[in-house]
Amino acid sequence: MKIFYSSPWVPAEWIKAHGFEPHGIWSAAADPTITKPEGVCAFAQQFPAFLKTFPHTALILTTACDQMRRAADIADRSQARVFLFNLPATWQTPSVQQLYLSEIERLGRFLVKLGGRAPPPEELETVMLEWDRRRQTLRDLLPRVRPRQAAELLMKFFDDGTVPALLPPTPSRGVPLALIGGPILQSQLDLLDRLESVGGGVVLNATEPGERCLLPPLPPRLPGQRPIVVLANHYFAHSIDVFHRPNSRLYNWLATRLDERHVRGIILSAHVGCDLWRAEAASLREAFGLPVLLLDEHEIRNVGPRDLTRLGAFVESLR
Amino acid sequence: MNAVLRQLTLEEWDSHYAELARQGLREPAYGGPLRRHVEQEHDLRLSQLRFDPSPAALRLWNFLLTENHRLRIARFHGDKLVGAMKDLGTVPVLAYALPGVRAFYPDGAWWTPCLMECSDRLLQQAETLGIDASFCPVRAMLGAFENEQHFPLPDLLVCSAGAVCDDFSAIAQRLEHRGHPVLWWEIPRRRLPEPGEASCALPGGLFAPQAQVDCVREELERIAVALGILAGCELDLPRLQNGIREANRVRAQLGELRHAVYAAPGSPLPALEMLIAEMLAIHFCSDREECLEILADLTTEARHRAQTRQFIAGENAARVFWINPVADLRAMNLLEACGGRLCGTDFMFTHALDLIPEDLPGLDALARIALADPMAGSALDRARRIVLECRKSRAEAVVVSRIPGASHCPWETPLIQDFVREQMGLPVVEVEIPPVCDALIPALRTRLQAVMEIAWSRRTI
Amino acid sequence: MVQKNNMICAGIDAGSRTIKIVLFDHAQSKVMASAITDQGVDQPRLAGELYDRTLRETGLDRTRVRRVVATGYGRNRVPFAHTTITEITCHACGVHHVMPDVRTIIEIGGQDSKVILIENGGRVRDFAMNDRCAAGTGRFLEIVATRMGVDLPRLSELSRDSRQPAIISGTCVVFAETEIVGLLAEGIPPADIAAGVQNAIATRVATMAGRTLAPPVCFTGGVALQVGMIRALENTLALPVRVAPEPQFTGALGAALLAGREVAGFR
Repeated sequence: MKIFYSSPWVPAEWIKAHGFEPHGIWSAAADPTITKPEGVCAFAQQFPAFLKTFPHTALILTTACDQMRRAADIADRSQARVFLFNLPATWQTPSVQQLYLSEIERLGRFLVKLGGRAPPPEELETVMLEWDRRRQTLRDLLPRVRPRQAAELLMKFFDDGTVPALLPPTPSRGVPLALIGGPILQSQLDLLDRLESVGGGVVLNATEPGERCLLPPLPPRLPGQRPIVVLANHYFAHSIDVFHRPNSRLYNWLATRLDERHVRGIILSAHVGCDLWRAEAASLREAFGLPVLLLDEHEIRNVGPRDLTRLGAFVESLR
Repeated sequence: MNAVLRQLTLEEWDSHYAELARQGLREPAYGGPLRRHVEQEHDLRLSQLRFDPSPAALRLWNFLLTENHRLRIARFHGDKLVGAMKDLGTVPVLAYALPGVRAFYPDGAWWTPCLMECSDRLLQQAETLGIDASFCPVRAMLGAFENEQHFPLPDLLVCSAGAVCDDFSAIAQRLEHRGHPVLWWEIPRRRLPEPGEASCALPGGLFAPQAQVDCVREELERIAVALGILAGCELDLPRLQNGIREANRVRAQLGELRHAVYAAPGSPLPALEMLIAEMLAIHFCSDREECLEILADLTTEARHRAQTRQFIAGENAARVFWINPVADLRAMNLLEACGGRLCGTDFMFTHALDLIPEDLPGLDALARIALADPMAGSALDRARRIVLECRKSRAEAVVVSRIPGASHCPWETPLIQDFVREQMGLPVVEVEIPPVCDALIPALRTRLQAVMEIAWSRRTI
Repeated sequence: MVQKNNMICAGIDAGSRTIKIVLFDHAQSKVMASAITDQGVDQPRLAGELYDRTLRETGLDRTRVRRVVATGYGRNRVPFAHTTITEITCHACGVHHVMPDVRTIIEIGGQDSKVILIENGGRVRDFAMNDRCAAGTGRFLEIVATRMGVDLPRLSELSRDSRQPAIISGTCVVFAETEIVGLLAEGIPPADIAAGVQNAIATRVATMAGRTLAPPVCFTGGVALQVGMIRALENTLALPVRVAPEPQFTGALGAALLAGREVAGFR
């Protein structure tokens, strides 16, 4: 059975270790529909009916945002194949770290109810190490390929966990840009090519599933430490997202990379109805002193002549 | 024979006040004619509102409209000020348990653009800070922090995170980015206990896993320590228990007021004053004792009117259950103007109306109350409670007031509407109320009148 | 002075774009006259003139009318009305009179749209309105027609020839207008654009109705004269949609009927 998960902070290894195929939602999600109730996030609005499009699967939603929580309210009414994972917004205290671990354990019980098998620790560790190795391969590949290709690699990894072994280097070109924001769907990756066509090159993809979703290498397991604890602590410590309170981890993570990669401008992508990302536009500008261009999701999906002009003008202003 | 009491305009209150003064009206230090708030504080909206004619209502309005001044005086006298954001009714209970500490509610600045008819420019200021009209009117708080012309900057800012609405969370984070440190605390999204999990009963007939209650309790412990450091003394058990008892006195009094008004055959107090009175439950408008007296006064007035059959809205008025507070206070006057009356409410803080258990350790009791927040759980839980309340209050119609920009409303509203219709077959109308709704009055009037017409037509069956 | 033994009542629907009147004889249970005029700044005068002209053409005067009920957006500015009732109740009453089996009414006017659910006996069970956004109203069709250089009846005819309706994604009619300019520039056939706009309106209405919509469905209001919109609604709802006879007048008819009930002592 396929298990779709909607957040990079739900450990795909955990799902895999239970005998399922984890699939990130970003490849499967449909284009946001045209007409939706005002104020509803275009990304979240498809989840209540998701399982009708994908029968014989299950869906893991999270509490990362109110929109997703509310979508889960409605999705949950109709079927028992939806799991709402409580992702803590705060990250500073042992009690919320414990909360995160207990949610992973609770997810495990859900997966067993679906027909999965609780993995023995050594099997879980094997999957964790394999995933870790794949992430390292991805980290090695990403700087060597063009932005679109890099985004496709990340999308593929978060879709089914696969990473190609080797790719010929095709360096990026253009004014170095950062693409920051929330979920970007498979169908929206054209944006990266369009940016290149107007002279920009995304050297930092901090969307979802972008580079910020790629965890650093696993630490070695301490004697007596359970693999699930290692997994939980690792994810908890290295989740980089806008919904955290405070979201200083996101800013610290961005600061290092924006500087290293000499980024000259930020493109902030936000789904219509997404308050969390949209609100960061001014803070990003103030924090990094860089120009910020806010793109709505329908502009990303369908970069028309008007939007191309905006992108082109933005890139020109950075030269 | 029922007498219908007329609500007064501001001008009419001027003469009425003069008459009351001649009759020996006794007022607290913050009392006085309502007009002075227009002239001195630019609360221009008062000229558009209709007010209850009682001295109790006058005291309520003066209490509300002098809060910022009261906070400044408290600061001058050495009190520490705590801004309790988002959670509605939990942190203030802790704060007021300590001597020399007052909690207030910066989010309450959302009424400032309404009261000042946007002459405050707080919403424009929020927009220049990157928070535009796609966010809820609480964004006015950002402007208030920037220009410091409304409430004084608090000594400590506390804000809940997790199961909270996105727009508020974004606004609070923006505030922190603007240099106002925030003590964040986690409120997990409430869920039902799973088989094998230890379960905990919450007020309001809800349940949650014990693990969630434990998590929130630990968070409240952290806040209690921070408050103790601020106050210069520990928030120990006796202080906490006393604070809970005092908070419960306010909640109990408000419960009596709600019963006196909503259960009466006609409505003895107007919808607008009831909205303001209920809001006092959250943070006592920065003076817990005074808040208690005002609620007691209003209860006495309501009971007297019910006994003598003097009503703001007569027995023929359609009984309306109102969901969510309104950004423009004028909308509450419209309810009665369209032939309705409040019979019950859910202003998003029903957990602040429930009594805090006094037979449990203090922080445990508060953790349970915090988790009972209707916004922390599923919309279905909230809808169930609404239906229960509608049945108890014999509601004939339901109004869901949508808060523009609030992330929960577009999801919750259809679910609540569908559930109420399925369970009770009541007409449900949605109204969106921006901070100044003047241009929408005809459209709002049509919606409200239509739902009254449905309610009345059902009575003939 | 009104003659007490007659039962002629008048319903005035003062909408945002037009004012309509229906004179109804309750003794014979028939419509005596109906008329329409454009709305304007001086609505009380315009409504009065429409009233008097219609009476004159029917051989009547104001003394012959027993009761007047006003409805619609401008209902509170009809000085000669005895009472006002919202257009929700009036449309429900009007449609029920001509189509008693209908359970859902879709009314799309110039500036708003409504879905009204009816119980047995014609009582309103519930309703939903879009009165804050031009997308989903007749206004949207007018803007598109103007942009395409055709009138509204022609726009409706055009959509019949559509092979592949364009997708209009703008949530706001102003942005949607920009999209239409873009589609025309890219050579998308006008028929497809017309059909796309009609589909967008129909989808908005369907979203408003949610899951509560129950057949039979009646379409009324001025936009119901657009055949293309009927098609679009039927396709979107996957239900047959019947059009009320003289759909612009159902509100005024309902008002006149309710006036008669008021005279009889009940509503």
